[in-house]
Amino acid sequence: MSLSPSTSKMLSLKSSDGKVLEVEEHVAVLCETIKSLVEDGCADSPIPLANVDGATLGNVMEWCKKHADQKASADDLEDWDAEFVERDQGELYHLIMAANYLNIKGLLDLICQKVADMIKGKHPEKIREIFNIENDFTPEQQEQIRKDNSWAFE
Amino acid sequence: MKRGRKKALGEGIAMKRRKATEIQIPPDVLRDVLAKLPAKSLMRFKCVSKFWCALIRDPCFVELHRTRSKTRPGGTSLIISLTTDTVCEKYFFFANHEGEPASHQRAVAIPTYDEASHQRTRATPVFCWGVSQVLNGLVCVIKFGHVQHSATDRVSVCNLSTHEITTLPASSPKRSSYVSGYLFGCDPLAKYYKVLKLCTTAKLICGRHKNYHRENVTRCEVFTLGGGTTSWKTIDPLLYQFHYHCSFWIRSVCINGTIYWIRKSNFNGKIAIGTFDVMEEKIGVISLPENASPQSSPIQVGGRLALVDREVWTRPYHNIKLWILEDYDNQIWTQETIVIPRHETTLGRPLPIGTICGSGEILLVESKFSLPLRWLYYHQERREAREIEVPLLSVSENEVGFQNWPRLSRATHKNLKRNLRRLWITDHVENIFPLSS
Repeated sequence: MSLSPSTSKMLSLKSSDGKVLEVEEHVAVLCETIKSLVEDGCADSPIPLANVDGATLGNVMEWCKKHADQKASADDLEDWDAEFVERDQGELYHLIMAANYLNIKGLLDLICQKVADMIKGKHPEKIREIFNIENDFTPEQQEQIRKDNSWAFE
Repeated sequence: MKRGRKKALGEGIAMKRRKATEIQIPPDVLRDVLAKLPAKSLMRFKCVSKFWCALIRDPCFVELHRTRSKTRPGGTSLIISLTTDTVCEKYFFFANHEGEPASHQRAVAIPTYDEASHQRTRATPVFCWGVSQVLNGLVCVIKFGHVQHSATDRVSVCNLSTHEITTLPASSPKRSSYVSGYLFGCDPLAKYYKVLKLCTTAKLICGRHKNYHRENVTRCEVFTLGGGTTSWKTIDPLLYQFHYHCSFWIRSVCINGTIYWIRKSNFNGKIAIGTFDVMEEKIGVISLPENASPQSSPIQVGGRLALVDREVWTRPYHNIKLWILEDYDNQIWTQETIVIPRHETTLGRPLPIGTICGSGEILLVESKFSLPLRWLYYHQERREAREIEVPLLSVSENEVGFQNWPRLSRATHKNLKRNLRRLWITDHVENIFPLSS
């Protein structure tokens, strides 16, 4: 099977909110999940993607399209990626979930790096807020961990 | 394009509000995110929640983080270690490969005094210090106690990335056991770190004619960190025998789960290489290659054992011969030469320390440190060298430190020259291995 752009056929992807997106096959197969469907010959009807909404799917495919472009240089891609991840938390969250679900290693790595840069050096309270985590430590336990790692809070 | 982005942004916020309670990152993804963070952030995030704390301490995550640190910007650095005579503290500074202080890592000081009483105490006489190779950011520090009573030794392991220090329990209190040395290593996956203690006990032996004589018996004990053990374990030294008046300073290196050190045979006085398989806990010996100097030091070059002649005075200035162990099983050695281009260095007699993490270059230092501090990176394939010079040390009366570096208070400048002899530079990779279970 040839995956070159000239002969690439179109695939329809159906998002969780019912939007259908037509994407070239060589772009869509950057998603390992879709690639395995294509390889198994199950990609004829619109592929239902129950965990990805339309807006996020559009963003994901925008990234795939750029990265499927063989003419793009590494420097160019790096700059483009840097701009691509300039998004708010909500969007990043949906992208990370979609990249994980669709199994796109490059995109997942990119967003993970962005999130890591975002939370680096932040205070635990801020982290709980970002990730919506409940503090399940007792004040004493919390104090002990802080004491043991006091240098990290300077 | 811009307008489209803006609209998408608005949608994102709305979605976030709607789904605020549903935000739940899968653990696999969270692990990927956290593995990209420096140790300092991770030590902070241990108090986010019980789940985060458990994840950060999880052995698989620790391994993932260490592996990623090798390529993460700021994940690798150099450690400059220094002992001060006045207060007997061991200092570890972090520098990046350009010779600047690594801003995110603070210098670590290991005090010799009793941590519990917070007082400098002379209760346990410290007559000698020993520091192991810095291995994956962990260092084993030994305060030797009484010369004839190895149970008075204090062995601590410090994780320089997390600042955690643990003091190991005293080993079995055998009277009159002479310590020969301590060795530090880890298994190939760095899941366990082990301290190997080699000591000799004089034993009364009854001869054939009821005449008693003393005989030296070798004892080997192992302490495992990371396995939940709390005591030393005695292992079979096999045929390994040595003189008790062996050097306290054992030059050793741990490569891919085996510790190598230079030792003197008790049978023929010959220099050989002692080996300790960290996983199997087996002691062995391999012979030095023919013509190798008895003053050899074991180092790691490209993931293999290499021997470098410490007798720098006998060799041409910038030709450094290395013996490389190509094949462990068949003990096949090959010889490689590092030729440092004269015009690329001001170092008088560079001494290789080993291959550094990440770039794969060989780190070389001046065999006798002087000011300003300099070191050298050598690229084996390109046969290129680049030299780094650290800004001058400060000259204040009460402080010692590098310009813009964290200052060493209390140590005086007067001792600086003396301290320089104890200065050492090694490779560092961030590692969040927890020392306490």
